[in-house]
Amino acid sequence: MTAAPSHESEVEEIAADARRERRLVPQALLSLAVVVVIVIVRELLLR
Amino acid sequence: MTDLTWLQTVLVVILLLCVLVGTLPVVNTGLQFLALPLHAFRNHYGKAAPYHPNVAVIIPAWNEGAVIGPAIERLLQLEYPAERLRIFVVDDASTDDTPAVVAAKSAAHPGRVVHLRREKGGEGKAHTLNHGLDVVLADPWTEAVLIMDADVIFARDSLRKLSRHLADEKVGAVTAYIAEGSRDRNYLTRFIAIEYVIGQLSARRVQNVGGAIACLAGGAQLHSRANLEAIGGRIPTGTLAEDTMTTFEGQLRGRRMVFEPHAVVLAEEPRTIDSLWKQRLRWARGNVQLTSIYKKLWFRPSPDHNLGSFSFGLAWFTILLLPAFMLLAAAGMLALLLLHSDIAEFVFRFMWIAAACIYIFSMLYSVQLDPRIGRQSWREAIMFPGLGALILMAIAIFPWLFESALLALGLPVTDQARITWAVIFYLWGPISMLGIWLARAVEPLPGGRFFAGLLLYICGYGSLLCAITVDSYIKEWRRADASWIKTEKIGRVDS
Repeated sequence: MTAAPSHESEVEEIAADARRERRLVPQALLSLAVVVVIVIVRELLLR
Repeated sequence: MTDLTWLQTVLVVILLLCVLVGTLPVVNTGLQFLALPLHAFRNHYGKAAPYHPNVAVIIPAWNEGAVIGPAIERLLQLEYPAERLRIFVVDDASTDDTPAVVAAKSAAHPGRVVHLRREKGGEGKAHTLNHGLDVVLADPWTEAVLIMDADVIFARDSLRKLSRHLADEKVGAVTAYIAEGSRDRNYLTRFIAIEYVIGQLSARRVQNVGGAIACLAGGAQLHSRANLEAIGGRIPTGTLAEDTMTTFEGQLRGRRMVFEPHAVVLAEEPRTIDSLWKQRLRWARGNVQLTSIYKKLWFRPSPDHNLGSFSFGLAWFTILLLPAFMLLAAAGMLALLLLHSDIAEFVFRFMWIAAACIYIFSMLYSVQLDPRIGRQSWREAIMFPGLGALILMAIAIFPWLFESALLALGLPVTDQARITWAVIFYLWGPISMLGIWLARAVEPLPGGRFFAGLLLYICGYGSLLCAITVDSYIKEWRRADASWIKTEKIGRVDS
């Protein structure tokens, strides 16, 4: 069995995972941007 | 609408409402992914802290000789204090080499790997787990219990990442992200991988935000001792959804459940439509049973838990009633076509453009949530709704394409032809479910696997889940045999 990391390392790991959750926002914005581009292209093509 | 009588107008409004209600599952998917970024700010990390309770791992095992050895080995390699982890394999009267494999591990790691043998097996997973719980909860050493499947492989840091949430005493249990992990993937396991990203990394994060978890994954759930004792120290029996019922019972007693997306556990998933069908039928029938058991819970907010919230009820029932919604939308569209084809065409176009936007948004988001799965299964992410639905989306977005294609193929473009095509388009949902039924029927035939796969790519993975849900209604209505059928696992996940 591998030993658990130190208390400080684990505290930092929790903070790092919390920071990784912040990536959900730009990921959502990127996905939303693609949808918006497709809708705009459609509107341009329909004209 | 000027050429409609008042009666026709009322009918049109009613039909539009039917179609609107029928599209609730699509709306729910959109809302789920729109709410997902909230998990960046509303999660449990602020209350998590390094915490290593004494963990008793319970592994129910029936004829798991091919997979139990690597699973135990991986548990022994976890980054967790050795003196705080004990493994209890509950051997449910296995007839293969499971007892010998576990006995060897037990001899090699005395006191850390324990073999519990049930001489009378076959009563189901809940009974097997309860045999283990009786033993581990009788020992005051046990501070937490990890319930897992015999075939799963834990990432080395996963148990630590689960246990840190138990530092908050209000948390009763934590569950991990079960990722599809077969080394030799096929088309079906790649579809399942995408489904798990949507169903766990997206849906369960949103459930974290809403404060109500629908189900702790059966393959990896870490309970505090207090949580198990609060529900009577037993896993509920008498239902096919023991994991979901355990999750509900803990929350009804005021404890919080947490989904930890960064605790990764790899699992081997079914490789044929028939084996997936049997597994999911068990889950779907379990959910039908629980909907009835908890009938006084739905849409009734409570200060003690969030299971009665509107959003949780909406998510639950859009999955449970997915086939009914699909049929309602199809019937509504067909009736609209008969009543006023222009309105029907407008609604069709609006519905499918909305569906296309939600599909593109959710799939682009999903492949980013787990980039490994995104790289392996991007084709299945694209084909998730099925080729038929993708064509309908393309027709709705670019309507002139369809008539151009018909002309190019030399097919007639008359009013009669338009009506015929419209009927096919509007009934695509039910047609695709029948296609999936056909896929299951042809799969065992010579060359059938190819055609079954082809039909799945055409009809879509959602239609597969929908067809299984219909089967669950039928089986529950007929009170068909509900014996626990184990999904065959042969050790395709690398440790």
